[in-house]
Amino acid sequence: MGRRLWIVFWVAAFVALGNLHYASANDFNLRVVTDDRHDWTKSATLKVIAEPGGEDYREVILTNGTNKVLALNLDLANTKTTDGKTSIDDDNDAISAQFMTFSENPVVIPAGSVKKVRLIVKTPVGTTPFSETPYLLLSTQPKKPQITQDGKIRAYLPVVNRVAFPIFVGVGKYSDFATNFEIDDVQFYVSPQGNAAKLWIQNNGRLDLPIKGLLKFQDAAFAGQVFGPYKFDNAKVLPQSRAFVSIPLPSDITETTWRIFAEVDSNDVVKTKIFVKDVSFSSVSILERVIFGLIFVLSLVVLYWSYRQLRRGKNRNSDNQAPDLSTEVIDAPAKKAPAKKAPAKKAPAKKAPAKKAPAKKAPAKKAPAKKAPAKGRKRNA
Amino acid sequence: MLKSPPRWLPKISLVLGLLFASFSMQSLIFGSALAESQQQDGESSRESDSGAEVEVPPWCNWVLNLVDNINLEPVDAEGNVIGDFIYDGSQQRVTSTISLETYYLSGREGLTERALATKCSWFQTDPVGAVINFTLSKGVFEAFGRDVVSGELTVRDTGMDIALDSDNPLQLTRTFNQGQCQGDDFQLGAEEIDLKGDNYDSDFPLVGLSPEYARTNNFCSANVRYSLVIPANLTPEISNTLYAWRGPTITFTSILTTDPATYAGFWGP
Repeated sequence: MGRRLWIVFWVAAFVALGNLHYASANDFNLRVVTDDRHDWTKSATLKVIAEPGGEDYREVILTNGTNKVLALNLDLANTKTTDGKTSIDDDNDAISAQFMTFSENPVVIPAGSVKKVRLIVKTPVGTTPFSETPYLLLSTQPKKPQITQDGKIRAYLPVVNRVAFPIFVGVGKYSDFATNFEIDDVQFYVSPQGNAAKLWIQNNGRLDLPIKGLLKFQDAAFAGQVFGPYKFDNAKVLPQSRAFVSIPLPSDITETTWRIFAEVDSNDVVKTKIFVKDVSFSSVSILERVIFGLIFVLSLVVLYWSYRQLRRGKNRNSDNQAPDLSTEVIDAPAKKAPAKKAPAKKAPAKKAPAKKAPAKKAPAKKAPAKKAPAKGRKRNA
Repeated sequence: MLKSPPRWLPKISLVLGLLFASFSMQSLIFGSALAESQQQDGESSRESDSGAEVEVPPWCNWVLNLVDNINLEPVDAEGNVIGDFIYDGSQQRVTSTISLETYYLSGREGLTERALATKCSWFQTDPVGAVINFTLSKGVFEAFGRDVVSGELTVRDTGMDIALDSDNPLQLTRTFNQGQCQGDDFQLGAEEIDLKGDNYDSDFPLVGLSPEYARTNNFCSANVRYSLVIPANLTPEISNTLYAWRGPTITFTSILTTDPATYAGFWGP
């Protein structure tokens, strides 16, 4: 019986595997060619910038990883947002689409081969400067099915495999897009990982600023040993903005006066700056400490005064409620303070009989009424 | 004689006193932490190792293994393909065979399982995440009869068109390898979708991987089957010939990004 079951199992497994078709590969990819013509062409991110009335280009290498000839259509498309979801807008061209041409389109790449394609931006004189980040679309072409005379194929769905790469297209003066940044300041703080420095960098350019660099420390008074370099890498500052890089520091960097050497490299533009700073990892200065200390002392005084006032008010209130309860312990008080106050507060006691309501309420307050005899017992003891 | 302060003053003073005492105490003791939260946003550095590489792996890439064309064939009630199918006006279900689709990061194509993490590299650039979605070009299967001269199926016959609607949608069943996909941090789209006239041009999310979770070998796969019914009572303009239906083009789009916010925008709420 068990053997039969095994046979059924293996037959079923083979049938299932036979019925499962592996999808054929639709593999291609894109690499951006770098060169030294501009700051932005040194980076492998896809940016192409031309001056109004001028022409510029960027090159990409397309790889066909399949064992078949591949024809790829190139296009530019913007995005649209509907109900909070972004998607490729196939109905409207990107602004830059009118200025961009491709050295070959569609690009035909032999099996397992590569092809270099040039993306050219050419603008007429007087074009208003702009920049945008559309997507470069690489699409396979749908295949026509091999329709056989035996009529096996009845219906089919053509498939297009498309990849959308972000691309920056800018039209304007090169100087506007050039690497332009300043090392602004260095500050110190305690990060969750320990002491650290914040190196502030101002990006004055119109492109993202990829940065890497280092900090070195030397005692400002005695010179001598140089601590560091403490390096950072893979950071980025957005266009026209200021941001900091957090650099962890070892315990060697103590709270004293240091000469700090900062070096920042972006797109092979290297800038340096030397700071002389009283390093403090607490961001509160001595003056601020004094001010906060005074506020703290003053707050304590105010708290004490409030406490006294509230306590006095509470005593006053308890005295106001005394008449009804005091009837049972009228001659009991041994404490001096309440004894002194009692005569002064005769008026409420006199008023009490006039007000019928409080008189009615008195029996409802059972707890105090019970406490009174207890006090009396203590006193008697 | 001094007038006693109004009753509300001590209460207000108490609250303010507590507030200021707390604030000043916090500033004195935790000054650095407070200052940190007041700073502008910035970028944190990332530690990077450097060293001589003996072997240079390929760049990591997004690879999609999809079917070139999805063929739908007539099947009987048991799901077996009918070899010599003749449309005589009766309804007939047509389905695709089950295909394995794979979506992954690697330096190699054609993989059916996850590669080793060392088999590709981002070479110090930011890892690339992707949102993969698909959309249909139209809501109809267009019918073509055979050209007697060329023998090709090029003669258009609108009488035999199949409109996709609620009664007869193109049914898509995509069964993800859930453990594998979710274990590798993929977000997954719907497994059962009825594609029809009023939704065919929507962007249907298939899978997504945020750049935050992109490594060098994230891997996801699914088995896919499409199914449709050739309705009864279609009236051909040409008879005694072979017919084929060309369905809508399915465009799979991989939107690549290194920015988690961009990824989130494309994946949607």
